Amino acid sequence: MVLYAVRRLLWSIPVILIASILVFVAVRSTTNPAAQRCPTCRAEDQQRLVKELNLDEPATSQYVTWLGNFAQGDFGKTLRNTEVWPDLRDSMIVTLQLGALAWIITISFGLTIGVISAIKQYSWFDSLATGVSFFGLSIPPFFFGLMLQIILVLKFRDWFGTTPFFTSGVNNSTSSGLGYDRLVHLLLPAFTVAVQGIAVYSRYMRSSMLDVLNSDYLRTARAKGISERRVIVRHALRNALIPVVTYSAIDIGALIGGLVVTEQIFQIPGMGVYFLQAFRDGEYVKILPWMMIVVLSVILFNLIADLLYGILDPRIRLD
Amino acid sequence: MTELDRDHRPGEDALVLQTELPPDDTLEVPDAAGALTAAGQGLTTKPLSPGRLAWRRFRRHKPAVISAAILVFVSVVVFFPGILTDDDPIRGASGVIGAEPPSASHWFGTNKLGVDQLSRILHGGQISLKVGLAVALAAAVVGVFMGAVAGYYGKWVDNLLMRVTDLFLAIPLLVALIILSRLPAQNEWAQTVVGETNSLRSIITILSLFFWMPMARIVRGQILSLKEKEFVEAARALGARDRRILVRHLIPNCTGAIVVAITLSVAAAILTEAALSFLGYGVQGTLIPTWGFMISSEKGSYQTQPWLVLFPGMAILLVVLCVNYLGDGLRDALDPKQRRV
Amino acid sequence: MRRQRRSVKFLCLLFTFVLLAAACSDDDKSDTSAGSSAAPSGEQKKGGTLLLAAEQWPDCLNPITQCANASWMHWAVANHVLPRLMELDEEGNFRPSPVLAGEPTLSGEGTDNGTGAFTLVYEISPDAVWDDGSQMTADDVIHTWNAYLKTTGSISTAGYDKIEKIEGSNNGKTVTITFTQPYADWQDLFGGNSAYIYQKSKLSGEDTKDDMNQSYGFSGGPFVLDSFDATQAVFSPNTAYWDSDRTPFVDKVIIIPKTDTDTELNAVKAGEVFGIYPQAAPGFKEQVAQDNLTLAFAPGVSYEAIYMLQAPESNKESVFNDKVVREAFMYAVDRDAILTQIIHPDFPEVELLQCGVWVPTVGEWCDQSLWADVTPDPEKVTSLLEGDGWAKGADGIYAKAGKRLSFKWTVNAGNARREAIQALIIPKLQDQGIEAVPDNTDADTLFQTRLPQRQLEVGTYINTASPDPSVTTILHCNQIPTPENSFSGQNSVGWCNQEATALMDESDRTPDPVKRLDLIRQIGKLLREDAVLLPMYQLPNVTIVRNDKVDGPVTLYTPAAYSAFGNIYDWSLK
Repeated sequence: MVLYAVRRLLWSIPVILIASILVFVAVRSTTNPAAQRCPTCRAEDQQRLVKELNLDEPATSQYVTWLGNFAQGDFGKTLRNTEVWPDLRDSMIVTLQLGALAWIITISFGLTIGVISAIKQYSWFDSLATGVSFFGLSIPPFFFGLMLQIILVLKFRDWFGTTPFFTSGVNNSTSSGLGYDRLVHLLLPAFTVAVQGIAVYSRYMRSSMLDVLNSDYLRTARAKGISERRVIVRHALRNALIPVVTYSAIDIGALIGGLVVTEQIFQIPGMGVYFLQAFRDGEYVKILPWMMIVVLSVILFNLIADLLYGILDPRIRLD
Repeated sequence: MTELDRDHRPGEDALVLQTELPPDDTLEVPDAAGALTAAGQGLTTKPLSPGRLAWRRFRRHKPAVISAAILVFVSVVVFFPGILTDDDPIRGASGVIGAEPPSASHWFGTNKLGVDQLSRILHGGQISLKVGLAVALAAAVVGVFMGAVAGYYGKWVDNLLMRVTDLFLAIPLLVALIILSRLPAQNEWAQTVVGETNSLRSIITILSLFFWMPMARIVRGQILSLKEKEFVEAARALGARDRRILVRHLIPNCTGAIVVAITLSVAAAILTEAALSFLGYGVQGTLIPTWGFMISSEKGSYQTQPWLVLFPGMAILLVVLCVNYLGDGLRDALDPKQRRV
Repeated sequence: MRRQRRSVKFLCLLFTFVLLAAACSDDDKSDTSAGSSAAPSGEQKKGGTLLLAAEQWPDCLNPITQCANASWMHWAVANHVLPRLMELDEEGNFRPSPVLAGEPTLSGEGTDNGTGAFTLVYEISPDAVWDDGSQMTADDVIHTWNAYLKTTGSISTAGYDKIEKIEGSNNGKTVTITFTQPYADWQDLFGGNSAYIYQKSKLSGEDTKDDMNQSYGFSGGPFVLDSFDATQAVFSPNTAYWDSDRTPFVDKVIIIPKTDTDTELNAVKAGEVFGIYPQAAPGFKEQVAQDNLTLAFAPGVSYEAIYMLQAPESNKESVFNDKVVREAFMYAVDRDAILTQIIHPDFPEVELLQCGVWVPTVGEWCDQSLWADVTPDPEKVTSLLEGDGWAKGADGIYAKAGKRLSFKWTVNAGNARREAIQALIIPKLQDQGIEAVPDNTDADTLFQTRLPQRQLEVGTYINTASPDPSVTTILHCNQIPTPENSFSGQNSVGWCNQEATALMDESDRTPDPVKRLDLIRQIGKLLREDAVLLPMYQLPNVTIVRNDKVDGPVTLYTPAAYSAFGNIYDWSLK
C-alpha cells in the first residue's frame, strides 16, 4: 500500500506542473501588460513602465524564472512590489476556517438526517428530509446566500433590532484566530456552503445506511438476538460510514478552491476572492502558487480517500 | 482485489449523481430482490418488456411524474412565451417610472423601466434551458464515447483518460470556466475554437469541456463491471468484434445510468451557468438577461424591490428541482441494480 | 406536570411580550432630526474612535508607483498622512496647503512678467515639520522630484521631466523651481490631485520602489498611519502637526474595506461604520430611508458619456466613421428619458452635462453651450441621415450602399444603470431606424482588454475630469492605442484632429488662466463639431453618515477630489 501511495504521489507532480503551465498560459493570454500597469497614464509612461517592469518578457522565461524561485521556496513579489506569500497564507487560513465550519455543520446535520431517514424509511421524516435535500441540491447557492442575508440579517434587524449575523466580510482578516468574532462572520457563508453539503451527505448516508441495514450479516446479527440499537450503532453505522468517509475526503480536497461563489457573495477574503482579484490584475505570480496549492490539495485528498477505502473496507486490497 | 476497485471510488459517481446509491461493484448483490419486485408488479403472466417495467416503476414515483409535467409546462411557456403573456420583454409601458410589485396586470411585477418581469423571465429562460440541454447532450456524446473506449480497452487508454480527467477535475470548475471564458477576448485562436467571449456558443463549449468527464467516468465504471460478465464472453465466443460488443451490448446496458447522468447534468449545467452569470461571465448579447444575470443586476434592490430577485431565483430553483426529481425517478425506473430505496 | 405546563405558557407570554416590546421600541430612535448635521452643532466633542468604510482597498501605498492608480489609496490613506504643496478645496479649486506660508509666485515665460524661464517660487511655512520634528525643506522637495523621475515603475513623469532645476534657500524654506518650458499644470506637481512631498531622510534613496509599500515611516499631515494591512488602516493624530485648524478631534480613526455597495450600506445602517462614500447606485434613497442616516450628494467630477469609437480594431468600417452618422446618433438618443427614468428616481438633482469632457463644478473650463442643442429630435435624425444618402430598408433600419446602420454597444455586464440605459435607448433607436446590438462583457474584459485594444464600437463608461483642464491624455492624436504601440495610450475613442491636438499642446504650455481658457474653449468646439462623444451627466458623489454618531462638516467634502473623507480632521463623535 505504501508503494501505491508513493506511486500516486509521484504521478501527481507532472499533473501539478501541467496544471500550472496551462493556467499560466491562460492568464498570460488574457492580460494586457501595458494597459494594466497604468490605466490613466500617457502612452509614453505606459511604454516606459512595460520596459522598467519587464512586462514584455517572453512567457517561457517568465515561467521558468518563477518556477526556479518557487522551487527554492521564494514566492516572489507582485508587480506592485508586495510579497505574495502573506496574502496567500491569510486567504488560505480564512478559506480553511470557512470550509471547516461548513464541513462540521454539514457532517453533523447531514449524517444525522441520513441515518434517521434510513432507520425510519418511508416515514414522514424521511419524506421531509428527502424534500429538504432536493431543495438544498437545487437552489442556486448565490440565491440561497442572498435569502440568508435578507432574512437573517435585514429582516432580523427589522424585527428584533439587532442581529448576531453579518452580511459580509470578516473583521481583521490577517489574524488567524478562530474567535467568536470570526465565527459569527463566517456563519452565514458556512450555512450557504453547508446547505448543498447537507443535501448530498444526507442522501448518501441514507442510501449507504439502507444498503447496510438490509444486508445479510446484519440479518444474522439480529437473528442472534442482538438489540436493534446495538445492531445499528456497532455494526450498521460503522460500515455505512465507509463510503461516506471516503467521499468526504474528496470533498475536503475540493474545498480549498471551491468556494468562489460563496466568498464572492459574502465578500470573505479567502482563496476564491484571492483568485478573482489576482486574475483581474493579471498577476500570474499570485495565481500560480494558488493553482499549485489547490491542485495538490485535490490530488492529495483523492489519494487519502483511496487509501481510506482500502484501509476501512476489508474487502478491498490495494496493490 | 483488482485494478477495478482501486480506481473506482464510490465518491466519484456521487459527485455528479448526487442522489444515487454508489454502484457497488465490490458487493455482488443477488438480484433476487429485484426480480421478486418485478414479478410482483406484473399481475399478468406475460413477461413485461424492460421498457414497460421501467415505465411502471417511473409512474410510481409521484414527485418525478409531477416534476416531468412541470418541466414540460415550463419548457412550453419558455419557448412559446406568447401563451402566458403578450407583454414585451424589452420595452416597458412608456412614461412608467419605477418598478411595480406583482399585481393582476403584471403577475411578477415590473422592473424599473416598466418591463413586465414575467415576460422577461420567460424569454430569459430560453438561454438557461438551451445551455442546460446542449451541455448535457454534448457532454453525453463525448463522455459515453471516451468512457466506453477507456473502460473496454483498458490499459494505457484507460490510464490516460483517468490522468487527464484527474488533471481537469483538480482545477476548480468555476475558476477554470472563468479563465476559459475570457480567453477569446484577446486570442484569435480561442475565438474560432470556443466562440466569442460571452456568446452562447462559448458558454456551451466551455461547460461541455468539463461536463464530459464525470460522464466518461461513470460509463467507464459501468463498462468495467459489465465487461467481465458472461454475456460478453458469450458474444466474444460467437465471434463478435469489439466495436459490435461495445455498441450493441455494453453501451445499451448502461442506458439507465447514462440517462440518469444526463438528467442530472442538465441540473448541474443550469446551476453552473447561473453561477457564471451571477459572477458576470455569462451569456450576453440581447437585452433580455439570463436568470443568473437578473439576480446579479438587481441584487442591489433586494431590500426595496425583492420581487426583482425573488422570481428569477425561484425560476432556477423550480427548474433544477424538477430536473433532480425527474432524475431520481428515472434512476428508480431504469437502473435494475437499484432496489426500492 | 401541570406546573410545568403553566410555566411554559407563562414563558411563551413573556417571550411574545418581549418581541412586541422590541418591535415597538424602534420608534424611539426616530426623533433625531434628519439631515441637519451638515454643520457642527455647537461644541464638538473630543475623543473616540471614528470608523469608516472604504469601497475599494489598496494593496500597497506608494503614491509614485502603480499603487497610485487606486483612488482609494489616496482617499483612505495618503490624504490623511502625506503633505502637499498645493491642495484642492471642496469645490475643486487649487489653494496653498498648510505647508505653505502663502501663495506661490510665478514668473517668466507664460506669465505676466514674461521674460526668462518659467519659474515657480514656494515659501514653506516655518512651522511646517515632519512628525519626527524635523523641518520640511527644499531638500525634501528636490528628493521628491528625483523620486518621481527615477523610481522604477513610476507611473508618470509628466511635468517633472519639464523641471530644469530646483534650488533651496533661506534655510531651505524657499523653493525655487525652474522649468525648461512653461508648464500649465504646475499645481499638480508636489501636490494637487494625487501627488505629495516625501521626507528625504526616511526614504532609502531616489528609487522608492521598495519604500512606502505597506507603511510610510513618516507623516506630514494631521494624522499618522499607525498600521495598514488587508483589513484595516488605523490612524492617530499627528502630535507634531502645526496647523491648529486641522488638529483632529478624535483619538483614532479606523478605515475598513467594505468592497460591495450592499455591504457598505448594511455596515453603515448597522453602525459597524459611521460613514461611507459609495459609488452612486440605484435604490439608495429607499435603502437609506432611516432617520439616523444622512444622505448627501453633490455632482462629482466623474461623468458618464456615450463614446463613439472611430475606426476601432473590431470594425474598421464602422458606421461611426461617418461624422453625419455620429451627429444623427446623438440626436436619436433620448438623454432626457435617461435622466427621468433611470437617474432621477434616485438622484433628482442630476442634470445633463453639456460641455463634453469637462465638468461645470471644477473651474471655468466647462462650456455648457456645446451640447445644449442636442435634444431628442427624430425629424433631425431623419433629415441628417437621408441627406447623407441613407434610406430605410425593408426591416426598418437605414442602409446605404448595402451597409446597414447597425453597430454594437458595449457596457460592462452587471452594471444595472448602464444596462438600464441600453434597455431604454435601444428600442427607441430601433424605432428611428438605427440598430444597436448590446455586446456586453464583464468589467475586467472590457476595461483591460477590449477598451485598450479598441475592440468595441460604442461604449458607455465613465471618465474623470481632473481639476486641471488638460485633455491631452485622452484626446491627443499620439495617445491612441494601436497594435504598433502595444495598445498604450488613453485615447481609446480614437479621435485624431490635428488642429485640436496642436491646441492641446499649446494649452499645456500656457500657465496663464485667461489665455488657457480660450484655448480650452476652442478644443471644446472642435470636439463638438466632430461629434466624438455624447456626454450625459455627472455622477453624483454620495456620502452617507450616521448622524447620530458623527458631528462636524461631515458632508462638506462630498464633491471634493479627495473624497468625503478628505476633512476627517474636522469630524468628531457625538
